[in-house]
Amino acid sequence: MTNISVHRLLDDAFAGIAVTPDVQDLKEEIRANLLDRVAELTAQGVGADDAARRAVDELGDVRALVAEATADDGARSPAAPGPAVVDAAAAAARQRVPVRPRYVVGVIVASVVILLAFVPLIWILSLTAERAEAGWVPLALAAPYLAGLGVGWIVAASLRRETAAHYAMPWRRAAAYGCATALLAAGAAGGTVSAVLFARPSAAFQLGLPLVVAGGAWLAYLLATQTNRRKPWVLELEREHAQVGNRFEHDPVAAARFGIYTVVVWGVTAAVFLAVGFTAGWLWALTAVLLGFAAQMLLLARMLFGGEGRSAHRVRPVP
Amino acid sequence: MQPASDLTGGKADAFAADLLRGHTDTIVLGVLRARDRYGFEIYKAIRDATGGDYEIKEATLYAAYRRLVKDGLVEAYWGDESQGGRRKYYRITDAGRAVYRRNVDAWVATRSTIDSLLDLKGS
Repeated sequence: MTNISVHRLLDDAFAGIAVTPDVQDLKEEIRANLLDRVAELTAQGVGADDAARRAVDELGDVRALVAEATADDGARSPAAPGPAVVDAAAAAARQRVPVRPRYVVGVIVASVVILLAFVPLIWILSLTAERAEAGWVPLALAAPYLAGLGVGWIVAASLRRETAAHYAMPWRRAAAYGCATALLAAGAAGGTVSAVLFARPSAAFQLGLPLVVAGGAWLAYLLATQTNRRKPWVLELEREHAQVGNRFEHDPVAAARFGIYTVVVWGVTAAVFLAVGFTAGWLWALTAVLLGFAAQMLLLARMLFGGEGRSAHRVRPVP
Repeated sequence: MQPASDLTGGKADAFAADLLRGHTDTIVLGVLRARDRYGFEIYKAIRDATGGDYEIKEATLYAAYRRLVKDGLVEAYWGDESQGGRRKYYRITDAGRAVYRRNVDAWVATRSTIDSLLDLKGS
């Protein structure tokens, strides 16, 4: 009963508002929330119809709500780069985050650890067989696992670092990434080294594979559950690029012209390639391919991204 | 001076409501920290936390959700309720957590500054 009343009141509230997918989405979201509010009110002893009316009244002016919630999704000419692209450069400059000395020192130390981890192995391999002492072998086998620690530390510290384009990752998650890559790297390094030392590949599977599998599975889980870390201006820029990339979809004539020009460019290139190849030599003929590639890129740049300048020129009234 | 004190009371309310509205996005991010929630849950959590003294208008919240999704601070997905309305859930992203942390730090710093500024007695 209540439900019918709420649905009708909601329809009434949305009457006369143009139904875009965005508005429909908002309406469905509001519907579920209204039903919960009505349930709450009826649980407090309010009559069904009253509850429905009160829940919808609490929403206030739906028209204003829709306007506020769907603001600045307004229609912008698809091909025209909006202010966001111009702003993005400024945003990038503004968001620049200085690199902390502590981070740099840490990365250097970790890199040194990674290199040191392989020193015993290189030492043994560089000695001639009779001079190699047995005492070095356990060290050479164990040290590569330290490389995993170094790699893990660099990964975690890099994820914790805020950059111009990314926010810092929460430390617990960054630590998980660090541990997973540490396992993976330790397994790979340890396995490879033992395969070299024992001169049989199966050693790599016995000593390295378990770690690689565990680290890999953990890493896969982390990547699958990863949420957005990019800053708003980067997302805005990506939306802009998606729109620019769509130009051929919006303008089929330009797409057709692009196709014809492409055929011409590569037809000419092929002809020149053969002509130069048979006369001056095939090495020189490669120049034709390079020129053809350059022409193609120039064409792409002109037609895909140069649209705005040309159309602005066309619109300008003749004096 | 009866009306004057009445007026200050009303103004204090408006002042608090204004201040609260300025932090809507951060408040929503804070509500989402522990787990994913849908609109009414968020609304109720905020309403209950203030003891019903102030409430953030639902319209303000819907606008905040849209803004947060657009900025990548929150992800939205539809629940799989089979009956009634399907609920739209919101999940905080790593970017959202970073922004929340930063805003809370900024607020704590601002709060102490304002506290000491409001306590100035002049010389």
